[in-house]
Amino acid sequence: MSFVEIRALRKQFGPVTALDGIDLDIAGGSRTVVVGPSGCGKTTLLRLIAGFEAADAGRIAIDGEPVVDGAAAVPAHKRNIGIVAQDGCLFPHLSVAGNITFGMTEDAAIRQARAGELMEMVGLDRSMLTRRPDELSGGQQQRVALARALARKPRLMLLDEPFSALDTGLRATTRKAVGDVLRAEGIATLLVTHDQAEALAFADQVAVMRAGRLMQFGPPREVYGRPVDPATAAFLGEAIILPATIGDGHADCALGRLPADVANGFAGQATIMLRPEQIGLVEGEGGVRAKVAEAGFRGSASELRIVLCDDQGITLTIEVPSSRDLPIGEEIGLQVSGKAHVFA
Amino acid sequence: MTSFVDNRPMLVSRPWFLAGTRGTYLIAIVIALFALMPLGFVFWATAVTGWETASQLIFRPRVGELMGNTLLLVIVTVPVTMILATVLAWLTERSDLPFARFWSVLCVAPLAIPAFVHSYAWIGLWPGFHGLPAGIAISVTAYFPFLYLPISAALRLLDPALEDQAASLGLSDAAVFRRVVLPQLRLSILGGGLLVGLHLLAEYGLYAMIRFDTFTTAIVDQFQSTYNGVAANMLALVLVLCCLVLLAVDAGLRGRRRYARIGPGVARQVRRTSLGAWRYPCLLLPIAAVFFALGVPALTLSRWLVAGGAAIWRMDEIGLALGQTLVICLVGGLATTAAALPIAWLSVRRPSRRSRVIEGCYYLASSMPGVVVALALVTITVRVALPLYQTVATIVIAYMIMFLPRALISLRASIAQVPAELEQAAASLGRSPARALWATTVRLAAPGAAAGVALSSLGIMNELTATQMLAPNGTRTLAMAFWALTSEIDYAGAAPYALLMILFSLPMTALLHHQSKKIAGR
Ligand SMILES: Nc1ncnc2c1ncn2[C@@H]1O[C@H](COP(=O)(O)OP(=O)(O)OP(=O)(O)O)[C@@H](O)[C@H]1O
Ligand SMILES: [Mg+2]
Repeated sequence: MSFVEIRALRKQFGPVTALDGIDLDIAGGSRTVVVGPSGCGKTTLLRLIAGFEAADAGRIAIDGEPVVDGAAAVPAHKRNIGIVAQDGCLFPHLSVAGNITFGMTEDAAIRQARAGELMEMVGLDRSMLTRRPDELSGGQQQRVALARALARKPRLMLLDEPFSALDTGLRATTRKAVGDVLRAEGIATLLVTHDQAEALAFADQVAVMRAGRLMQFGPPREVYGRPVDPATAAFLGEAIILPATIGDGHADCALGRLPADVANGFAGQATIMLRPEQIGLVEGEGGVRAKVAEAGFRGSASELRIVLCDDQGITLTIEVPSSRDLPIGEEIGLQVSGKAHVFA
Repeated sequence: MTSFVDNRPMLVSRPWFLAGTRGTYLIAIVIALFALMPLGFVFWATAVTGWETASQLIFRPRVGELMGNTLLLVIVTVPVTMILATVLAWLTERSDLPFARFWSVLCVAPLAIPAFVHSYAWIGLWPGFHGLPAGIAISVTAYFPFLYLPISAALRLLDPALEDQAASLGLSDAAVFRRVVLPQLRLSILGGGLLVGLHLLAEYGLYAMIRFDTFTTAIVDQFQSTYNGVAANMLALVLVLCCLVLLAVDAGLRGRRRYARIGPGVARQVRRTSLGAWRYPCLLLPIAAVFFALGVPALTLSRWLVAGGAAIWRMDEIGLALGQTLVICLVGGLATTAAALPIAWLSVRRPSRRSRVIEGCYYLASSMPGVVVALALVTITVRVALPLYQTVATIVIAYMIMFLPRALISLRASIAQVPAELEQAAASLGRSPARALWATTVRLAAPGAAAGVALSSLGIMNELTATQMLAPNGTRTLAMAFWALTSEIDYAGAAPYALLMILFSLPMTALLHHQSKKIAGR
């Protein structure tokens, strides 16, 4: 049995269906990342798990103990679930130390000592304990919010876009620091993010939501390489979507005959997906011929929009090492590696 | 080439956010000097009197008795009012109390009733109700809306995410209220409590009617009976010291805390706590508060109006009094709010020792009883500016001195709720400092300014003593007429004036209630 079990969870706000029957299982100590377009219900899911909002129907059990069962619910303060929101949400009337020790019930001396430990755990200096929240940077506020949530040793940690207010560099380091702390403490984590790179890097399991439903749930590689539909594929990164004829474990498409991940001998028309990194260049006259239509420099790589010579209607976006300088109009040869993913 | 030069951002020697601060300070200081005139007058009069006469007039049993009365009144009334207003605000704003909206309107409505009409109403029903118990009971009834209004507005502005966060950290609802909600209400409670305390010290009519002697009533009596300012001035000196103590206590409790939201984003709508089985028993509190604050005046007034019949409606006199009152209220309210604006902005955006000192000057000045303000202005105009004696200008200055804190509190609270970052954000969108201020803080704080005008106009409509002494010849406001008639024990004849004061205060009170809701964006 999994650590967190969510079954047929529903939530409506008037006419808006925010959650439309969610089933989700989270293993103990694992990291699950929820992604999905804006307004698909990610925050609502977290708020229901935390107990800030009442569900309309469905069940949530944590460690075998039901916390939501239809209309019945355990109040938020008895769930022992930590949550860090997008803006950190520090108490403005308390110092950093006051914030971190806020939920602790131990003696003052123990609380103070633990506050210091927690500050170090999240990579902040103990001397900041006396500061006010508005005297901290955004990243520091997030770390204090995490320390505060960790102080009570929660069974589950909910992170709602906690890094989105940070710049790219700080975001990566804060994410890593947070992830390491949670991993070391063995706390199961549910992270909501808009950033697909962040999702894939952080997750043990990725949950893709759309319009209040769970579209796909699985390990990052699986979700990235074998998405359930083109929209999910596009959400997790650049995708090349092509029509193809399937047969004999292969797909025939504009890029030739490619091995496909088709199961149980399906044959007929289907849509396939390739990731840009599956497409490479061949030297000389071989490969599928194409012309460069646009070239964008991206630092280590260049992004090319190319048009196939045989079928002018098909344009693809691929990445090549930027050391290859390919002017517009240049003819190149393409080669596909790996399997094409066939949408069922 | 020209276009290149034109497009270059202009270099200024000072950062934009400092520009204008000095001028604002200058205006605030000039206003403060005006406001301090009556106070200066009291000290000047004391100095002229000399220590020997002064100590004889101050250290006598009569003053001790007044001191006891005044202290007991403040020490009991202010905390009781704070607790009552906080509980009422929480019940109407954050619980599932039946008809919460209705009760919240009724808790603000007593603002429309002048304090001295409250005592007129109480002794109408209970003629024997006198002394300290009566003083405390009527004061709590008359003044709790002054605290209810800012506290309920602050409750609506709280970020519920903080309460959610506290719950996720294991706090029960009661603990969340104590450790998260209450600390954030602190400033509103203290600000309102100070205002109520100052009113208690300065009110005359309420206590004169129930024959409860405070420093203020004693000063008025002294002044009216002897026209010898010396004894009155010495009592005023002691009163000023009381105000200083009150201000010091408030400043000590207030500290230097910021209460704007830190993070980005818009606060979620708040949830109401379920009272469960207490839902209906809890109704008793608003019912009792509203009965005493609205029911009692309504009962007395209707009794006198019925008893008086048509004979008490002398329309020519009443119409004249009404017109004069409305003009004075509007002019005075606008002038007072305009005068409060510089210091309100400074005390929130550039808080410093200096801004606190200036602010303290206004509080101190306004805590002077109307009679002292009036006495000072009479003396000063007669001595140095005779053309201003008994003119509208002088009386407006008196109102500014007395009611500036009312405007200041609403202005300051609403400016503080607008994060400074918004001003900076507007500036970053290419607005000049003045326009950035206009586009953000002034717009968002406008409800506070409107509340300031309404609150000070209300005060002016109900002001009696200074109006009586300073009004240009031939002026007779509603309050003056009411007081004159009750002094002649013509309670029925006074009733139409009380009714009109209430009726004309109601729209301003309604506006106040509405605006305090709009601050919260609803
Ligand atoms: N308190 C509320 N009242 C009414 N509707 C709400 C409320 N909270 C959320 N919704 C609606 O429910 C839907 C899901 O909202 P939710 O906040 O869960 O989205 P989200 O996936 O977190 O979006 P984002 O990525 O933009 O944060 C949205 O359509 C939103 O408008
Ligand atoms: Mg969200």
